[in-house]
Parts: sequence; structure tokens; C-alpha cells
Amino acid sequence: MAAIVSAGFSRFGKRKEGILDIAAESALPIVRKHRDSIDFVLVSNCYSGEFNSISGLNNLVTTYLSMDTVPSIRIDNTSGSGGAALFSAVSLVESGRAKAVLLTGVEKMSDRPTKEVTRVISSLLGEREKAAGPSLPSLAGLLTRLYMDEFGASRESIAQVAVKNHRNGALNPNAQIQKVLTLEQVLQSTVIMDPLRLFEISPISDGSTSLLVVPDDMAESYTDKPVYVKGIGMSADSSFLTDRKTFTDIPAVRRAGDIARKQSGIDRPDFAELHDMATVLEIVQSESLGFFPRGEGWKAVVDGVTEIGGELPINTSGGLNSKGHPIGASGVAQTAEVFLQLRNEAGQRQVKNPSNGMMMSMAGFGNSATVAVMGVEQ
Amino acid sequence: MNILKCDGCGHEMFERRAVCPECRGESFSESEAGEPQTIVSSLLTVTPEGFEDSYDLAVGKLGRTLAIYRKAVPK
Repeated sequence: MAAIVSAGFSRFGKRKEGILDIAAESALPIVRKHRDSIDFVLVSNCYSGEFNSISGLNNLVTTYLSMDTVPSIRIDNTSGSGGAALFSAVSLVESGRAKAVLLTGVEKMSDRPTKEVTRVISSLLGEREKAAGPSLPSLAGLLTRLYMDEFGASRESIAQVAVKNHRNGALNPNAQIQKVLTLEQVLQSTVIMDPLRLFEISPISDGSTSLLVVPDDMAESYTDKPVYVKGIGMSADSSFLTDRKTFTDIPAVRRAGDIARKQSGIDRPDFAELHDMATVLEIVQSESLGFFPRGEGWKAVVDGVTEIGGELPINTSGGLNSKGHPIGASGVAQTAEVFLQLRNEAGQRQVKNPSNGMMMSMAGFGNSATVAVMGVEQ
Repeated sequence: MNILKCDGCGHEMFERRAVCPECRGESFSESEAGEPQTIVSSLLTVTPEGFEDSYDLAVGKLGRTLAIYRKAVPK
């Protein structure tokens, strides 16, 4: 088993600094304390080539931190990069190939115009699908229509996810959007893909988050509050949406969740961080992960079940929706939120006495997914 | 609108693959499948670079597969 023993953060948002300084901002608090122990570095990043004209980012990061001889790998799995990188970090320490992995997720996106960012992100689709001109949020817009039609969900229930996540984000000092929104403000914001509105879609973001991952039997030499990765699963599905049997379930999420739950022995987590690139996705993912019966996730939102004080809080960090979505950093940041919550270090957004938590990091529209269940006990 | 059909098992696809996901066949033929039957569509107002600023995007049934396409917006 692997354990997470430290986390570092940068503020998410539109940052003037370059990608290396943003990466260093979250990595340095860990590196200052544990430089001599770190024997591998993973950099979760998706678009340094496209957005920053940089290749070999992993080696540039280690060199910038003057860890020139520490081996490193850059991991790109689109918006699921952070989950894939956590999976890799856990695998490295569990296999014995590394004893202390610095995992840094970083992205710098805001220098580019929105249309360019939209084109680059949608490049993960098939050639003919891309030729039609979809964006990832546009697919979420179509999913919103299908979900409402199939399950009778109200429009307000979908938008309520944004109200909840912005309320949570306002309690997170590292969140990009720190603004409480009313349901009316969400529903009256600019249409992006009808019926989805601006405040229901994650913003374009810069930012980084770092973690230190070590073998469980070494964890207590680093901290008296380690967080153990009790189960981690990864699954995939077709990159071609036109091959999918349904849009209102995400099989890769369901399968990855099944693996992580079985490994951990924890069927229902105390709280979860999900991939709410768009509001509707949080609801569909909560069903694919078995938190709620299919078609009933929207009712849980309306009933307050997923609020911080609810039975199963979701996206206490503000989620991608409010915290921001610097793509390569997101899965790492989701994991870091679970780390903070389990150590009772989440400040005003703290869940009451959690013993375990889950994060789900998703690539594309469910092209792949990583689910990790973490806990305070081995 | 065209689809690809596996020469081995007849599986239909919108996107090209090297290998059929059903029978592992490696030979495909392209054929005309008519117009897709729209399942869901919506107006997209933030579009990728290289495309006009708004259009109706749709997912529809095309033969025994799905297609993603732009619909003409009525003037």
C-alpha cells in the first residue's frame, strides 16, 4: 500500500507566472523538507506543448527545482492526467522501484484565447467527430438534455450543483472563483451550450498541486497523519463517443470505482471529489459510482445530501466548477482535498470526522477514469 | 452521410479503426447511410477555433451507429 504524507498548493486562477514557477509554488514546500528522500518525480500535465511551447516539462521541472539527477516522467492522460499520475505514483512505490515520489500536477492555460483552448481540448475526439465542431462542454450540454429527458430531472437540480460547488469554493483559499452564487445567478449567466450556462462549466485555469507519495511502512517517518491509498482502480472506454451505448452512464467511472471499492473494502465513502467539468457530470458520476440509484443523483443534490453537512458531501473543494480546472493539476488537487479532509485540515469546509474519502479523475468524456479510496487507517 | 462497415461481421462505425471491436477483422468498406436521425441537439455558442461562432450540434442515429454533426440553424 502507498501513503500520501504531504501536499503543496498553488492558488488556481489566471496567473501571470510561467508554468515552471507555478509548478515550483506547490512543489517547493515538499521539496524543502524532503529533497534528499525524493527519488522519483511525476509531472501530471496535458498541454505544455500546445499552450506553453514546452516539451520535456518533467525534466525542466526537476532542473528548476535543482533536482537535476532525479528521474522523472510527464504523464498526459488529458483531463484525467492527475488520476493516472496518482495511479503511477502508487505503482512505483508499491513495486519498490521508488521510495518517495513527488507528484506535481500543473497546467498554464490562460495565455491562450478561449477558442484556441476549446480547440485544443476537443482534440481528444475522433477525426470525424472533431470535424463537426464539438467542444467538451457542448457534449455536457447534450448530456444535460438527455439526462433531464430520461430521468425527469429539473433544470434547477442540475444548476444547484453549481450553487453548492461555488459555496464550497468560496471556503477554499486556493479556489479560482471565490463567489457564492444564487440559483438565479447561475441560471441567468451566459449560455455556453444550451441549456448549460457559464457558471455550470469549469473555467480556464492556471495552477499546480503537489503530493509526496511513499510506501505505507515508511509513512510515519514523514508525518504522524499519513493518508493511505487503500484502493485505486483505473478503467477506460472508447475515445469515440459515437461508439458509446449510452451517454447517461459512464462505464469507465463505474468500473474504476468497482476496483477501488473492492480493493479498499469501503463501499460508500464518507465524502468524494468528482470531475465536475460541467454540473451534470457530477450527478451522472455520482450514479456511476453507485452513490445513488441511476437517475436519482439529481434528487440527492436537491435534498442537500451532497452538501458539506450532508450524508455524502461531494466536491467540498469547490470542484473543478469553482476551484478551477488547470487540466493536468486537477486530479492531483482532487486527491489533495481528500488528504486535507482526512487530516481535518480543510478549514471552514471541513467534513465532520471523516475516516475515508474518494476521488475520481476522468479523461475526456469518460475515455478513462481513475478512482482512489483513501483512509486514515491502513 | 457515410459509415464504415466491417467486411467480416457487418459492424458499423462512424470513426475509422484499424481493427473491428466486435470480430477483430481488419477490412472495412465505406457506404452511404443516408441522413442521421437526430436524438439530441443543442445550440453551441462557445465554439472551437476554426469554426463559426455558433451552431446547432447534434448526436443522431446513423445506420446502426451514432454520428455527431452540425445542423443548419433556421434563419
